[in-house]
Amino acid sequence: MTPPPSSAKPCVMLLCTTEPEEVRESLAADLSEAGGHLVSAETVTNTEELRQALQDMEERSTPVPVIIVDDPLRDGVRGGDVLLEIHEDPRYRASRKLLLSEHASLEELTRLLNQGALNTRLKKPCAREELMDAVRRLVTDYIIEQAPGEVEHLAEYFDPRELSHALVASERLRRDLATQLRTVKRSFLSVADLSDMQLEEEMIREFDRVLDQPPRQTFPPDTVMFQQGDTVDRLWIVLDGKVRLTRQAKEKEVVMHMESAGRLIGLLALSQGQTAFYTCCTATELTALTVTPEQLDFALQTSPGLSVYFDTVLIRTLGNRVRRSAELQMEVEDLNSALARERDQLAETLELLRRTQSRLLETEKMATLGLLSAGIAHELNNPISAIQRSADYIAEDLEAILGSCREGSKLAEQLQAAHDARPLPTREERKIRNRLADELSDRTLARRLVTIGIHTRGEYEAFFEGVPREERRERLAMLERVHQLGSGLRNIRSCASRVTGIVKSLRSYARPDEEGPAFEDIHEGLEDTLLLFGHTLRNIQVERRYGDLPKVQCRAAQLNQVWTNLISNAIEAMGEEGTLTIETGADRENEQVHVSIIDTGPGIPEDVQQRIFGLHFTTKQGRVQFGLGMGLSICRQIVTRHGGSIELDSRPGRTCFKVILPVRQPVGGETARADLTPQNPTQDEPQARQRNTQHGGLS
Amino acid sequence: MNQVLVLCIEDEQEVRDAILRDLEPFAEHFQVEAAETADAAREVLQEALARKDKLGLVLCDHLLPGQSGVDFLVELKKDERTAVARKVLITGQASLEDTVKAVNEAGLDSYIAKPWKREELQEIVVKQLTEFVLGNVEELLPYVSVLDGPRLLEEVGRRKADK
Repeated sequence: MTPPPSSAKPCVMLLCTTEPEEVRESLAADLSEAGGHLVSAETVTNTEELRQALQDMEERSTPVPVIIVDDPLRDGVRGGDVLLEIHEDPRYRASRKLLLSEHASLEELTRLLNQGALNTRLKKPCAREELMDAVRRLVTDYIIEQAPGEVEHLAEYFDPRELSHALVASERLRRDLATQLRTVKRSFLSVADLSDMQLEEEMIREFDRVLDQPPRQTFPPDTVMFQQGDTVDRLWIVLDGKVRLTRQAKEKEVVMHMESAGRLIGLLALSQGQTAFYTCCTATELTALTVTPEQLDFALQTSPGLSVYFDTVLIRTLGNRVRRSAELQMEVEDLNSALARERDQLAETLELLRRTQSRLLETEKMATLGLLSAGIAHELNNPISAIQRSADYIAEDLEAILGSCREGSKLAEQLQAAHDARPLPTREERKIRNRLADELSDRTLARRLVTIGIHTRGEYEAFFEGVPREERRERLAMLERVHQLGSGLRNIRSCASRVTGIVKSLRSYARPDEEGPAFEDIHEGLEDTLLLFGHTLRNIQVERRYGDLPKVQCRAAQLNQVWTNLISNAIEAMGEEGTLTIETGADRENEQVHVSIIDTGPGIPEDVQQRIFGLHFTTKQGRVQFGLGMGLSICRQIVTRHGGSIELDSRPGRTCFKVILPVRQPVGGETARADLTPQNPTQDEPQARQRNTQHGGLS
Repeated sequence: MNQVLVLCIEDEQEVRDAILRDLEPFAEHFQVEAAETADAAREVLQEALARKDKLGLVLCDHLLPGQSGVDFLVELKKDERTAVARKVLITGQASLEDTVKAVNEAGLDSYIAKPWKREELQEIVVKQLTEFVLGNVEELLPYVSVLDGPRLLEEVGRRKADK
């Protein structure tokens, strides 16, 4: 800043006012006096002039410490807006801005203050001294802030006393401003401090005052005031009582607001296109003020206080309702997730039940089968023992009888020959018979001879040498009978021993009396199982490639279930014919044995291989079906329980299930648990004993 | 003279022996042959047909190695040389499905369940063979002693009257 020429002041303050020229000039003089030696004053009458003047000052590098704007200006231009606009321009930002106004809205002041576009506001009319003081303080502020180095000049232009007075005054003004601001804030805060009820009472009082006691309406309880979708043409301000706001959902009417409805009813309808969003029904007897939209507009325009109350009540009511909606939403969400959780749990439980059920069914079936077969085996033991013993005695007795007969030794020989003869295949026997018939020219004789083991004419003649022709017929008949006796005895014995074998296999297969894992011969179990397949294997070639196996600690009956499932799957896979290979081997180093069941079937598709052990056991037409995958989950369970594993290797023409078992069960291993062992010895034993005594002492 | 063939198909030797012994009373008048399998039976049949013998009765087990009994009976039914033969299933293991097939497609005449009784089997054989000879044999008198004599004699009388 250059030192001012003595004739002119270095700074200019600008006053924008629509006052008449005389008033303007007098004001300018006053202001100029307040500016002391430093600041002169110029006046403009509108925004354009103000802008132009600022432009001129800029060009002349003349600082403008203070801009004063009168309010309102012409054409309804507001002083605050002018200040705000000037303040936007960075060049004039430092200038102190003073607003002279009669009315100032809270909102406008707040805006100006927040923007920093107002330093002082004086209420019109104001005393000359008041204005000059304010201007002096603003100038001093400006100098101190913008040109601290020039402060001594202030003393040059201001009386030091005056300066200190000015500084103090400036401080006071700042405090005033702060007070003013606090007041502004308080008018909101004061509303904020009021309780809902106080606020509502204030509001209702204001309505009563402004609208001169609008009519009260009273509704009995459970009266529908309006329905969802209705056109609503008024606002009810509830004085006493409660309403229920409901909305029609798909299946029922849902109560949305009760406590949260608030005092303003018809609010949403009035604010949004006049249709009711809720159905409103009184919950108690209800008294309300009725206000039409026109009345509302009028009241709000007339009383700024009412508008503050109303706005606040409105906001709070809406706030409460929003909060309630949010709570409802949260409740719904919580319910939904609880439901989802419950549903998941139910589904899980159901799946578990299903699995348990099918496993139980399986276990039950096996248990029944085990019991039944063990029972049958036991029942068969007695008769078969009797049959075998009887056959032995008959043979002995026959020998004794024959020994005492004439020619008995020959007959006894014949009997023994018939008993020991290896039966010929039908084809060979037929050939021999046909040849002999040709030789003897007697079909019937040939047939009878072949039956008793005479195959050639030579043998025939040798046999009957010295027997008179007339006796030969009788002799032949006798021989036939003896022969039949011999072969009959042979058949009884071989069949009885077959039955004994089946019974033994059945017993060792089912093992109803098995207690814990014992060291067993794996091959025996395999053979038992194969024997029980009997006819099922008639078109299948069975190839055994048994290695040298140690005895394996296991539950034999359970492993037999595994062999049964694997073998029957293999047979099923091969259909009409094929080769079933059973290969065993030992890995002594790792103390393991393996059993491979290999078939020549079409193989298992790869996608099925992945799932095959998980497939559920099923029954079809009430029969146990040992189809592909049937029972495999059970197989795996049993093998796993033995500490072993099952491997599957399948391609067309060769499918191999390889069961690997440890020779010894780990101590405390799972086979100690007997839940797949199908019996209850304590139940079974007394029954079995009873049967024994009934059938007497042949066992 | 052409003979009537009685064919028994059973794969188990002991069972076959038992059936054959039960068939012993018929051996004098019929050619009784046995076979273990359908294949072996076919061989017997070829020989018999070559000798101009007629197949009169088949007693057949169902579960056999190779072709099943029912399938073999169906095959016999389709061959005109053997279609008229009486067909009997003697088995313990034929399912309902198999049996229905035997009745519908092979014209099964009788079913003997194992284990069987001698009288039962012989009764069935008499009945079936009587039916066969009545329909397929001219000279009935030789069979009077071993089959259903009164029926055969009745027929003999009727035939004489017809002449």
